[in-house]
Amino acid sequence: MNVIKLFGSFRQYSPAPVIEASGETVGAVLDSLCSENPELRTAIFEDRQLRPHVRVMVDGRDIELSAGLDTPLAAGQSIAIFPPIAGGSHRRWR
Amino acid sequence: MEGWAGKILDIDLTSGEISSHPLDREMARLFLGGRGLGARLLWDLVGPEVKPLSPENVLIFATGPLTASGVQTSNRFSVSTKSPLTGTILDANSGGWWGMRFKRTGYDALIVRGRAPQPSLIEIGPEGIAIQDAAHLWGKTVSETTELLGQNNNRRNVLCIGPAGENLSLVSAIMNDGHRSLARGGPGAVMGSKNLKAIVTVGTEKNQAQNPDQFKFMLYETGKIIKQSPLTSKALPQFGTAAVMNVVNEIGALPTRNFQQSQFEGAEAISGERMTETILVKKQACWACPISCTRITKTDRAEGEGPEYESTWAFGAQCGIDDLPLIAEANYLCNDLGLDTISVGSSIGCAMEMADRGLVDSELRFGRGDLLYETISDIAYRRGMGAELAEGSYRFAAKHGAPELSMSAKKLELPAYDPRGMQGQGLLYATSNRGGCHMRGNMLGPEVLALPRLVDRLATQGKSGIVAVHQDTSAAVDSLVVCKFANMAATEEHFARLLTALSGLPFTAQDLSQVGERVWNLERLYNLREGFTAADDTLPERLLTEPVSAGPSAGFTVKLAPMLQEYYEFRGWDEQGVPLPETLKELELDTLVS
Amino acid sequence: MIDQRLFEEFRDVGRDIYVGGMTSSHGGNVSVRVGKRIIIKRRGAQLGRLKPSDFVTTILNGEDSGVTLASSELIVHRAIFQKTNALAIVHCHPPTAVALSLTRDEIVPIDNECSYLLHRIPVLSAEYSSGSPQMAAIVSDALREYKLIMLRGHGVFAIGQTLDEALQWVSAFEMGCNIIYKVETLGSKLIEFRKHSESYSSW
Repeated sequence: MNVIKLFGSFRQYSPAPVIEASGETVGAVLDSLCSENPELRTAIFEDRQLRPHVRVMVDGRDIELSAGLDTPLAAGQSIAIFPPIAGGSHRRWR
Repeated sequence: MEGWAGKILDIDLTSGEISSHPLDREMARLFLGGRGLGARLLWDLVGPEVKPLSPENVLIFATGPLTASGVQTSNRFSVSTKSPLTGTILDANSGGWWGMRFKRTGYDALIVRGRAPQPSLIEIGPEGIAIQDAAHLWGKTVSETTELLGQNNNRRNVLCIGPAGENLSLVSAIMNDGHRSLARGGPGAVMGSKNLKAIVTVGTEKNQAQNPDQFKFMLYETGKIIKQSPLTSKALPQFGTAAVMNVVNEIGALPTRNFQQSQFEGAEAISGERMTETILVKKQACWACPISCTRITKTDRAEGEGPEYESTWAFGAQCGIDDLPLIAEANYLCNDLGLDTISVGSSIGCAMEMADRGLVDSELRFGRGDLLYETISDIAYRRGMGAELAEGSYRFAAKHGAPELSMSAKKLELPAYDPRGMQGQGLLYATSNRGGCHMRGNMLGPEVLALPRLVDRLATQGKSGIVAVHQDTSAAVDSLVVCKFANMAATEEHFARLLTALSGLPFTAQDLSQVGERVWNLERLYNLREGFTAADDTLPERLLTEPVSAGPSAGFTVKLAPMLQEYYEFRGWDEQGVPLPETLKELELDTLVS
Repeated sequence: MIDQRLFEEFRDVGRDIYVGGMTSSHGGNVSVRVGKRIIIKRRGAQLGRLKPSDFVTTILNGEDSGVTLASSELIVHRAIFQKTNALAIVHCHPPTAVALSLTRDEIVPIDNECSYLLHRIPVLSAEYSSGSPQMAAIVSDALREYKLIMLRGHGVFAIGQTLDEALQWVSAFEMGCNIIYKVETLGSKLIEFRKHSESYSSW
């Protein structure tokens, strides 16, 4: 089981800021998280990729520095998802 | 000379002489204004023989060519002086209205020299410039002073010190428009030492752009990019600067209990999200700012502005306190007494650890929010142990035999990022010209927020260049003067073109970066002249030798030495951190040093 | 010498440039600045297939063993690093951009993304192409004002704080050039949708 923490404006799409889910990879976990929550999916994903500026961390490590959505997950690892409150390169076109 | 007003006002409080002289155009081209102009003027005016709290030190209030132009966030100004806290060159800058209003009196900068024989204030307006008696204001708080002097954002703006500045606290701020502060490094004490309580400005003169059509187009483009950036259009308006509290905690870089830990279990309780849910009343913006990051908040007992991220951290995680209303009230109090929230909160956290370890006899302990209010008052009025804390954490800790427990660089208290989890931030703190500070090219951008791109926060190779580029950019932005947050959306490319349209002088993006590099090197020269050496480019021992014990940054210390070497090379400095002759020549600084 | 993360960035960016059709198999070059040194692709190495051994390190200015092994355009990279605050450079030969550069003195994008990011791109001419001092001078001067410039009939130079940032300018530019090409091929009247579009040439 993995703990998923939502921050900032993402919380408006979720009944609780901390949710439990499990999966082999970050992408799989996020996918199952969004399966019954289309609003959250739209907020996080665009064409099955993370929206620009959305930052996802596994135990505090940005997945961009690992394998992105393919980053493998071990049981007990926590995922944190930050809306563009945090990511925010104007230089990245959206 | 559109952009610049073209004049500098010069007031000697000892003699009462008021004069005005033209702004040197070449100096304006090389240093722009604000922090850069302040540093250049200070180089000539205040040498190593001058003690910071003596009449020979000066205060230089400076605006930049963009100030009051109507460019997004063009409300800012700076004060430059020799810092009584650090002994380094100091500039602090602030937003609000006062800087715009001062520029509209027709001056680019104000030099204040000497010491008034009795408490005084300066009024600058269309009826003239006068030094007036301020005996009736001495001892008054910032809010009282600001109100008594008729603060009015439509016409009349007040800058003043509170009791902390009067009492020469080395962690005292200069406040403007009631709640905005020029805080770091103790400029309030310099103003207090001059018996200067306040400066009131009533300015109405407006500047025209040389190329109005191009200026209008650039304003449109700049506004567009600020609206497009999620940071400036969503996060800052919605959650304020404390939007980053949870992020910094999540990566294990939130200094906790005087940097003993790097994650705070109470982070959520003091986060921007929580602030918005609980104490936020409304958001507010400075003059000509579309961002609105200011929080107007209300607790059961009080109402005021803030707290910002750094202040929330200083009285929160740093002191082990997770009571947001209490933190907000501590922040209101600092504003009203004229204190630097970062240095005050950090010094209290330092005292808490010292008390924990039995090094000082005090009731202070981590988590003792009930003592916060009283301790802050004691610092402003120099009562009891507050008198010692009024000197900042380094002098306090050193006096009690443990200088290593002061979490400061060059005696300036470090802000809200544990550099063991953000290696570049460590290099930034160690090399910052005014001491440990995040407003000199915050690495939160590249190391955490992916601004402009994500770099590995725990890596060291190549960090020196990113740190140096960010330092130079921040120096340029501080000289224009615009807000760091606007610069997180609009880049030097925008500001260079705005400046060109406004002034008619050709400035490229790289010209601006080079102004920043020039300012950075001049500040370095100033500190070297004061006797600082490469040995001062360091961090508290804890951050260099005690690995983070738990969390995402566990096991890390700041690997400063290799980054510092690469940094000196990048900067074109020798191994002792002294700028090489060819570096100074390229920056047109060679004529300053013979 | 070159750490794993930096190598991966070089490799990924090099592959994107080649696979994205923005250079020929052996054309183009990439470099980064570290302290007073430059890490640059070795002469002859293929951008689309970079290996850790494909890089040489040389100082910013002066002679050392790296110079002979580095790309023939080292002189341009050096000039750019000296005259700008760039920390990374991408140089390649995107075909539509090269084609347009042969027909005009400036390229003003007409699509939303590229005009937002770049506004206007000057087209420069150098008498001697690859690696001449003249080319180094004009390219590095222009990059003081623009983050991406076009060398007529040759290719682009883009700067950034990271390779990834410089790549973005190149990629957006080639896309913008493709759109100009297609619109011009359609031959129909352009319907403008951007406010102040008439001012883009003054960027």
